[in-house]
Amino acid sequence: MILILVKNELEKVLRRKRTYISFLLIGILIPFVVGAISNGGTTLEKSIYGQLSDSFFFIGSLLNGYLATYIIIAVLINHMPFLSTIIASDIFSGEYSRSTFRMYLTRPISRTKVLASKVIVVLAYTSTLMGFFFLYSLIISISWLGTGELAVFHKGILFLSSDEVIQRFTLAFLISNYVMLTISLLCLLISAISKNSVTPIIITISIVFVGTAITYIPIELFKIINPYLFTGYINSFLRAFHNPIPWSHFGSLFITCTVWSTLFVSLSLFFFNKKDITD
Amino acid sequence: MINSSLVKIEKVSKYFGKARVLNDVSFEIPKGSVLGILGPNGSGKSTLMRIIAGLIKSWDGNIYLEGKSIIDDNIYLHRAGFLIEDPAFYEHLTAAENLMMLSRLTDSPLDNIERLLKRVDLNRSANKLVRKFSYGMKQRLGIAQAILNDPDILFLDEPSNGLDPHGIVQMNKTISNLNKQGKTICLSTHIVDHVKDLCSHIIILKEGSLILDDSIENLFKNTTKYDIKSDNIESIKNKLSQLKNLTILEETDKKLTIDSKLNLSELLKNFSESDNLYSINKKLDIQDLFS
Repeated sequence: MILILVKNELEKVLRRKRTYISFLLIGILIPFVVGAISNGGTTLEKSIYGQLSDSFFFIGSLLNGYLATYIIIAVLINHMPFLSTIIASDIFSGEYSRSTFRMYLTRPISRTKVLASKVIVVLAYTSTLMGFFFLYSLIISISWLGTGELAVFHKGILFLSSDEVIQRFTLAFLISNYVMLTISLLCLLISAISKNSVTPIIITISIVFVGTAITYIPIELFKIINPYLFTGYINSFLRAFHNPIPWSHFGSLFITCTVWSTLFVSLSLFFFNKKDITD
Repeated sequence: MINSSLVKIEKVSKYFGKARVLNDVSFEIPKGSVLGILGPNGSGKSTLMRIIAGLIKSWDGNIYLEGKSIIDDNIYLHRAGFLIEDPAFYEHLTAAENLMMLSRLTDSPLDNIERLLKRVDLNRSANKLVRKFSYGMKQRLGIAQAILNDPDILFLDEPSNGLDPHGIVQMNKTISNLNKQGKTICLSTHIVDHVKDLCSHIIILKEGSLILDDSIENLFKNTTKYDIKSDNIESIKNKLSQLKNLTILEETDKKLTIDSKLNLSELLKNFSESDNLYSINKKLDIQDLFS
């Protein structure tokens, strides 16, 4: 039954135009950003080299497809919650507001399975979007600027060989995707208790905004609670490019996000199973 | 053919916050019947339908389908079809796609869809997006989705709502045909005129409480109102005015509506051929039952 429900959810989602808005925006935005990086390469390199150019003599250019991808992801990752929650925000509230549950839930199916199918679709959508974001950025950047070593700042300037870079990007994708899945599940929870599709996005983004602010505000209390907030890990993917890779940090990230995700799904289940469909 | 009860509603109550919208409602739906749930807006008809449909989760009382409680087991939904209030479909999908999606949930054969769409006269619109459907078309598609899994009993909440007079006639015809094919039907409405022709039984809800539960046959038997049609209303009126315990309620050129405790044969004795009597029929005024 769960496969049938997932198939139905996919049919509902894939036939809607709004499903593709996020892909379209990324599709248009990335080439522009890569083009801008390419044109402003000299300025960018100067800012990367900084005072290092006083001590070192650089031959060739640091600017390549990998660096461009790294910059694009670092800059846009904080905006991804807007795009990745487009489906999650509507997945329950859309059915409430359009009254389609009146027809769908009068079938001999369990609400728990309906929720499970929606969770699967939300997770699949978020992962696909994040995968597209990473892969598309890489493809466009490499095609435009070529490959080479990736220079990142970590305890000075760190050069990652081109053989290693793809593995690091894969790890970065896995890390950022895991955090983004938690954000999408938060949005799904709010969708399960809200009657319109805009409220879940607004509340989710507000929570992410406040959570991110806590990460950057140097107050002792915030420093204590920050490791327990999933929002504190949004930029953790940058550490996938550190040497050595901070596996213990990623372990904390995995545990924190798993706990929050489980909480969000459990609460969604609780509210959805109790919900009277009166519209 | 009406036999034993198919569904038994037992002391069903529902609160929304502190407001009690259903108050210990109990009745039975006889197998093969068309039961009409009547009541003004806000009387609890839709809430009751939603409880039976499993859309409302917390309520008191019990509901049985052929003696088996529906609480904690939604398997009964295999045997029931629902059209709850306005038809609501996935408007970005076609009519056929909507039905296909619902078919999968009940494991109904997909080749039924074409036949069903033909039955509700939507076969030429099968591949049209529901967004482009008129209200009447959506309501017909609503009937199609309700009978998709060939249910034994259909619950139709205000099926004539929003339809034009032609649409109402068509809807009533469809409901009547489904009943003739052996389906038990429970429909809620606030349009009392449709009930007499369509229903075999009625219940009336008022402010969440059941105020009447009877068969149309009994109600006709017990009514004291008559419609008398004639070319010579004046003569009939003169004769009737001599009878005791008789009130003339309404009068037109060719029709009198009276209220009398006399039975039909006692009334007929008073008229002669010169009165040009066309017909004399018992009149069931559902509106009176609300008071």
